[in-house]
Amino acid sequence: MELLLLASAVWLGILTSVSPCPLATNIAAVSFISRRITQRNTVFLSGILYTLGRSLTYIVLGVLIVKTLVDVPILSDFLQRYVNKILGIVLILVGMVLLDLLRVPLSLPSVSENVAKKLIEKGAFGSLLLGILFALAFCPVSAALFFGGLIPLAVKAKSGIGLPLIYGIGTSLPVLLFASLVATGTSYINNLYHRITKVEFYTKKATGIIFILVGVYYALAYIFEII
Amino acid sequence: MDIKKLLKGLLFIFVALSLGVLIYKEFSPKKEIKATNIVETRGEKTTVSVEPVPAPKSQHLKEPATKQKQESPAPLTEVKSQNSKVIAYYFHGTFRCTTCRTIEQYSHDAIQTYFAKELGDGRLEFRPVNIEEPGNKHFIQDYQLVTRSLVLSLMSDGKETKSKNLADVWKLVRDKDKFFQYVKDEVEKFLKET
Repeated sequence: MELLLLASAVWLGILTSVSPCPLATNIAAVSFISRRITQRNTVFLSGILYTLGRSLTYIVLGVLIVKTLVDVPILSDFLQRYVNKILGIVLILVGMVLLDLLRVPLSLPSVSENVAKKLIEKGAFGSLLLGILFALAFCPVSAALFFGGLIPLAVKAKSGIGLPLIYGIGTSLPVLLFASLVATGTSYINNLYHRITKVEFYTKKATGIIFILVGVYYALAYIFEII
Repeated sequence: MDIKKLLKGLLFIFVALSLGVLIYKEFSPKKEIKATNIVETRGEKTTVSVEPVPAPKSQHLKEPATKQKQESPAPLTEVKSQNSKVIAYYFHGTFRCTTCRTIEQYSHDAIQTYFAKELGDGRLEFRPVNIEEPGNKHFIQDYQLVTRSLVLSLMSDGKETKSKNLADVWKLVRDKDKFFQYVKDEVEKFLKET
């Protein structure tokens, strides 16, 4: 019974990630995670943190719904209505940072300065934020699967943390798989041509461009409502 | 260098424009005007079976006019004699995804295929509704909608006596035959009570 629940949660997650509507964000996520393409460990760490970010969002929503009496339709409507609108603008700005068109003055909290700095240097911290943000960007299909599929299961099993966690892992599985394939493939090419630094220069630029394109798409679809 | 500056400028303009449109759409006065329609729409909802003219409804609900025409050519006299009917709502948002369009298309086609007679005599009506239009927001609460949904509503003497959210449309959307059968069975159950 437990196993069946867990399997359903993973399956709902996978269905969410392969449905066509989050495709644009998945492309952005894959390119972001595999951006430091020559450092396979960083790609791996980014992938884990991206997954963690997604799960975190689902856990917070799950706990809110299971433990408190948050009104699910209103929550779902709110997220679908507003997050997607803001997402476009955020993606364009992040893309501009990646293309060095914008500079972000970073002032970090002093306590964990070293740790945070390391994470940011590796670009992994960004993956966590990206996971949180992309999980919040619900579209009709993911809303049906999460609010209509997973949440009823979680409520029944009184599992506000476990099932959303597993679901979050499910939603990032294809992205993780693809990112690691990209990283493996390109590092093989790298070894052939010994052009490591150049490749990284281009992958960062490519990620920036993808972010801007995806951002423009989201703005056109959700703000201007013309796609 | 110049290309970089140009790109930066263009992107900033686009971002500013997006923000502008976003804020304008959220706070535009249009919203207040529409908000007054809530009362009208709600009022209409309760008098729907007495109300013989289908045309003004489509205006309130912002439906495509062509669809309304083919779906409810209800003769006025016959509608008047009915005191109960079934409304099949398809609720969607402004952003239309591929799967959602398929669900709407299948729902429409299934109802059209199996219930042409009921559609004709006004016992059944198919109504696509955009829940993001401010006047339609109450549907989210009324039917506990979390996403695009097909909802059957039984109206009797101007009041809703029963409703059902056909949530399985999302599971069956990959199987057209099962989808049609599901919609057919559920609509039949509702029509039995009219």
